[in-house]
Amino acid sequence: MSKSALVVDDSTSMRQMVSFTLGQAGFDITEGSNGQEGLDNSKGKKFDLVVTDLNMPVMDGLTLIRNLRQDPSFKAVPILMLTTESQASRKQEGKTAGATGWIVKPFNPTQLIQVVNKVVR
Amino acid sequence: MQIDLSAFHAAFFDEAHDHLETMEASLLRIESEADDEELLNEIFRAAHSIKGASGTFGFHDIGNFTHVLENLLDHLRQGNLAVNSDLVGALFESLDVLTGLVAAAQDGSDIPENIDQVVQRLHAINADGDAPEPAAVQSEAADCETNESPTPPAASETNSKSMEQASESGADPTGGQPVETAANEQPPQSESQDDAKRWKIFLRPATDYFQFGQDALLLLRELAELGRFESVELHQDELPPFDKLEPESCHLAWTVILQTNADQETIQDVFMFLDDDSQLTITPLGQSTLTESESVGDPTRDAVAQTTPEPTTTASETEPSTETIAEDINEQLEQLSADLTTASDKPEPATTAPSPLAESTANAAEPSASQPTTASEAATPAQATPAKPAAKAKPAAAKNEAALGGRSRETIRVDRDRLDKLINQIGELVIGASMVEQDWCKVAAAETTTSMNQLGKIVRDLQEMSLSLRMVPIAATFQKMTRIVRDLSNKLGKKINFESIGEETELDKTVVDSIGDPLIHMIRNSVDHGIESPEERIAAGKPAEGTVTVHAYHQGGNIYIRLTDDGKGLNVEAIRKKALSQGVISEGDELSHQEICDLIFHPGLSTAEKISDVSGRGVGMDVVRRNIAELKGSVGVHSEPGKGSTITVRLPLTLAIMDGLTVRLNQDVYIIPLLSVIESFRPGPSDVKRLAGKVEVVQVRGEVVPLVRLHRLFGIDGAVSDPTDGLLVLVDDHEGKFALLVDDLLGQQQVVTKNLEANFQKVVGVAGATILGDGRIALILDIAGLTALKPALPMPSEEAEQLSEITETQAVDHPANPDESLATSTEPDESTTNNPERSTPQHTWA
Repeated sequence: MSKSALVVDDSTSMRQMVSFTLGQAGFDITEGSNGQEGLDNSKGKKFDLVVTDLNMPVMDGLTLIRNLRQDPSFKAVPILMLTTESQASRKQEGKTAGATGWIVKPFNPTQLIQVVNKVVR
Repeated sequence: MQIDLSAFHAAFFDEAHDHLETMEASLLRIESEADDEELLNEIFRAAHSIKGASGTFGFHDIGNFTHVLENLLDHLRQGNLAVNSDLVGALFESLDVLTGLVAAAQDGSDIPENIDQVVQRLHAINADGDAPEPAAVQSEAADCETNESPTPPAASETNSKSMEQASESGADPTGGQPVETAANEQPPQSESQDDAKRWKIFLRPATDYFQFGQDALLLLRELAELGRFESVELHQDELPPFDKLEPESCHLAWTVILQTNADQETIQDVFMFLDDDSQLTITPLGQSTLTESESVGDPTRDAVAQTTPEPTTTASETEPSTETIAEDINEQLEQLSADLTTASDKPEPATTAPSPLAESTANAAEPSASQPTTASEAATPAQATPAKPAAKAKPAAAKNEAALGGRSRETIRVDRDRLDKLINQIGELVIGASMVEQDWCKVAAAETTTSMNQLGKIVRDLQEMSLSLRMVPIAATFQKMTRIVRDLSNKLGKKINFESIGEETELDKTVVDSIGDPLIHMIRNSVDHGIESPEERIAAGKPAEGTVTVHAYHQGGNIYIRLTDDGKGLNVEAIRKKALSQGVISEGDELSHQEICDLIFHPGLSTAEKISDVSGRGVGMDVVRRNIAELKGSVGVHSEPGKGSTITVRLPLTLAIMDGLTVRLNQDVYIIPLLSVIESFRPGPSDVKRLAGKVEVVQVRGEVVPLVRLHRLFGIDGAVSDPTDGLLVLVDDHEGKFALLVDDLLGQQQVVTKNLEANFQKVVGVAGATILGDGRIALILDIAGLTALKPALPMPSEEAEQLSEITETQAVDHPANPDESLATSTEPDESTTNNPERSTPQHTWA
C-alpha cells in the first residue's frame, strides 16, 4: 500500500518540487495551491503526510493545520510546514496549531526526504 | 536521491514574473492607498515567495537580494517605517533590480549594475527601521533587530541561522526546570563534551505527543542510525491501569545509552520537532564521571529504578548491532501495543486498535497481515463519533474523491507550442468541416441539412473557444504604462494623473506581447511632449495636473486602444517644417490639419525640439505604425492644439484568423488582407499610363498610383493582362498606395492563416497560406512585402506633377459622380469590397 501525501503551496515551482520529490519517494500526491484548496482536496482521503507552506493567499498554512487537526482522520498524521529562517517565531505558532515539524527554506530534495523520514516511516 | 532541480526552473520563472507583476501593481497603488494594509501584505508575500523558492532552486543572487528587500517590507508592515515617496522610489528601484536578477538567472544576461547601490540604499532604510522604538513596542523592535539587522547579503545565510537560534531560545520557556525541555535547546555545555563517545538520552514525550503526528519509534530509530545503542530502557512507570488508559496518549519514556561519534548538536537535531512539554535530556557520559546535569535531580534516575526487567546490554559485553537493538524495541513496542489493544478492545469490538501507537508499531513489525489497514482506519477515535462504522465511511470517501476530480480551480500553464498546435488543428477542422459541407450540398438530401448545420455550428463554437484560450487581459501592459507615467512624471517634474480603463479587455497573447513596446513608446511621447509642465498648464488656464488616459475596448471583432492626453496637442507647424526640410512634402502642398498630423507616422519625422533620453528621436511613430501593421492593426492620431491628442490603435482580436478579399488569377486564388484594401475598380483605357516608358501607373480619382501586375510578379500564365479587362484592387501598405491587377474578385471571407515559413520557407510578398472551403490552397498576399517586389518606383514629385497636369481635367476632388456609380452597379456583388474602416466611398471607374 503506497503512502500518500498532501502538498500545499501557492508557489507552483515549490509545489512541483516537493510533489516530485515525494513522488519519487513513493508517495501518492494530492496538491493544493492554498490552504483552502488543500483542505478541499483532502476531504475524504487519507494521508500519511502533509507538507504545507505557511504564507499563502486565501487560507494560510497555520489555519490549514488547525483545520486539519480538527478532522479526526488527521489527528495523528504528521504535518510538516515549510518555513523560512525569518519566521523562526512561527515555528512555535506552528507547533501550537498542530504541526509536527518544519522544513526550513531553502532546502533541497535530499533535505526534504531527511526531514520527512523523521516523521514518516 | 538525485533530482534535477532545473526541471522546476520554468515554473519558478513563471511565478517569479507573476510575483514581480503583483509587486509592481501593488507598489503603484501604495502611495495613494497607503492605508490599505493588504497592499503591503501582497508585496511582502510576493517577495517572500520569490525568496523561498529562489534559494531552493539555487538562485542565491535573487534570494540574497530579496532577503534584504523583505526586511524592509517587514519594517513597513510592522509600522517601523512609513510609506513615503522616497521609500516607494527605493522599492521601485529594488523591483527593477529584482526583475533584472530574475532575467539574469533566466537567460544569462548581466545582473543589474546598480545592485550594490540599491542594496546600500535598502540597508540605509532598514537601519532606520531598526532604530529602537520607545516603550510599548520595544520588545517587538528588539525582535526585529535580531532578525532583521542589515547584514550584507553574502553573509545572510549564516547570520540568519544564528539569529534563528537566538530568537528561538528567546521564545522558549526555559524556566527553572530540572530537565531540559525545549527540543532545540542547546544546553550550556563546553565544546569538549562533544567529544564524548557515549551519551545518555532520556525521552519522555508529552502525553499528547501522538496527536501531532509524532512517533517516538522514529526518533529512536533515527538515533540508532547515529551510532550504537548500548542499552534501551522503556519506562512504563506512568502507564495508568488498563481501565484508565487513554489509548491516544503517550505514557511511556525511554532511556538510551548511545555510542556515537556525532556531536551533541546532531543528537539534538534528532529531536528537533519534539515539543516543549516533552522531556528530553542528553547527557554526555564521559569515560569516567557523570556530568552535572545528570546529578541534579535527574528524573531518569527514578525512572530507571522502575524500569522493565529488560536486561541492560553493554557495549563491552555483546556488542549487538544497532539493527538488533532496534528490532528489540520494535518487539517491545509491539508487545506493548498488543497489550493495549486487548485492553481497549471493549468499546468497539469491530475495530482492533484505535491507537496511533498501535498503528505505528504494527507497521514497523513484521507484516502483521491485515492489521495496518484496520488499525489506521480505526485510528479515527471512535469515542468521538461512536455511531459511525468504518465500513460506511469508506464508500463515502470514495465518492468524495470522485467529486473532487471535477473541482480543481487551479489554472494550468500550457506550453505555448501545444496550444498553438491545438488551435491550428481546430483551424484545420473548420476547413475540413466546410469542405464536407460544400460537398454535402451537392449530393445530400434536404433532411440532412439540419444535422450538417448543427455540426457546422459546433465546429465554429469550438474554434471560437479555442481562440479564446490564447486571450489574455491587457492589464499587465497597462500596468507597465502606469509605472512609466509615474517614473517619467517624477523625472520631468510634471504632475500627471494616469487613468486606465478596460484593463480586463482580452486579446491574443501574441498581440499583447507585441503591443507593449509601441504603447510604451506612445505613452512616453504623451508624457514627454504632450503634457506641459505645471507652470505652462496653469498659464494656459488648465489644471496643473495633466491627465493621460488609456482605454481599451472591443468593437466589431477588433480591439481598440485609445491613448488620450490633455496636453498641448501636436505642434502642427513644427511637423510641417520638418516634413518640408525632409522633402516629405513640398512648399506648395495644401495639407489639412489632419494630414499634417498623420505625418508623424512618416519615417524619419520626429518633432521633439530637443532630444531627450525619454522618447528619443528618429525611430518614432513610424516604427510604432510598422509594429502595429505587423500585428495586422492600424493606428491613427487626432490632435487639437492646446487641448491634447488622441492616438487610437486598432488591433485584430487574433492573428490566427483574418478577413481577406479573395481574388482570382486564372485558376489560382489569392487572398488580399482586407485591412489593406481601399477599393476595387476597373480602369478606363486612358487611366493606365507608363512613366518613363517603364513603370506603369494608374490614375484613381486624380491620384496616380503604381500598377502592379500580380500575374507578372507571380508568373501566372493565362491571367488577364489588360487592366481594362480585369479589375484593379487599390491597396495601401502605409508607405504608399498601389493597385493590383487581378482577373476577378471572388468574395470576402474569414481565413485561417497558415504560416508558410514554418512549413516551407519565407516567400517575399506572401504572408502565408490558407485552405479554402473547397480544399484548394490560397496564398495570402503580404502587401508590404509586395512593395519590395514591385518595380522600383521612386515617384519623383516632378514627374508626379507632370502627370497630374496632364490628367488635371479628369481629377475629381469630390466623391464619385453619382452617374458613374450607377453605371458601375452592374458589377458583381463581390467586387463591392470596401474596407469599412475607411471613409473613401466605394467607387468603380468604368
